[in-house]
Amino acid sequence: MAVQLGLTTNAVAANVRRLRLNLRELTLNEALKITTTVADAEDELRALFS
Amino acid sequence: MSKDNPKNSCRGVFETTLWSVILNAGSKENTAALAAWEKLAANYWFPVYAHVRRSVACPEQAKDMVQEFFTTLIRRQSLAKVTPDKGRFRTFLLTSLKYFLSDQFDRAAAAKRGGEHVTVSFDAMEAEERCRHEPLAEDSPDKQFDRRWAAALIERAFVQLQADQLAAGRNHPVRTAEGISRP
Repeated sequence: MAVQLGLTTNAVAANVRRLRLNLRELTLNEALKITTTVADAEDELRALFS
Repeated sequence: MSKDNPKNSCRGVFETTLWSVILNAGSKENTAALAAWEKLAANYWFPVYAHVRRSVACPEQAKDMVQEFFTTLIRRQSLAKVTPDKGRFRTFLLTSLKYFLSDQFDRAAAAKRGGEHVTVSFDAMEAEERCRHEPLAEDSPDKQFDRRWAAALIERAFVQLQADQLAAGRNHPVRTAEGISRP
């Protein structure tokens, strides 16, 4: 994959970590739209994905 | 940083809490609440549609019932009794949907429509296609609703991630859990 993307393996790993963190935050953001607090949003995500 | 403040995050860009906008409006007519309803309905129509479709044979009829459901929620001002500490939007919606379906099937004639409408933009054929590609589930209807809800939520996050990537000049496609590159 790194070759296909023209990146080093470490750069791909770093990008994947960053994307995962971004996705986690965006998912929390989406959950927050249907709840009223960050704590509720985290509870909602736990209820849906655990 | 207060954990309970929805405006706080490490990015600092949390969007408006749509559920709060709706709850705060209560029974009052409120354009912000109507806009919030339209956004939420647009994001979460599929779990509602799929739940309705279990009981309704015709896709077009199911689509009409979903539209009527969201309209009825506003027309009846159902949220007047809901307070922020009472349950979640997902639970509220599923419970309301069950009452709505029960009520619909009991009616001999369709109620005349009136008042404010929420227009949920979706394609019934696309919805049918999605239903066809779903695995045969032995879960309870409520569990299936939650599973579809989780999928809708994560898809929204993927779409936003893709948009963020493009905005940052990174053109590598982000693939969803389904393996489909979203525009």
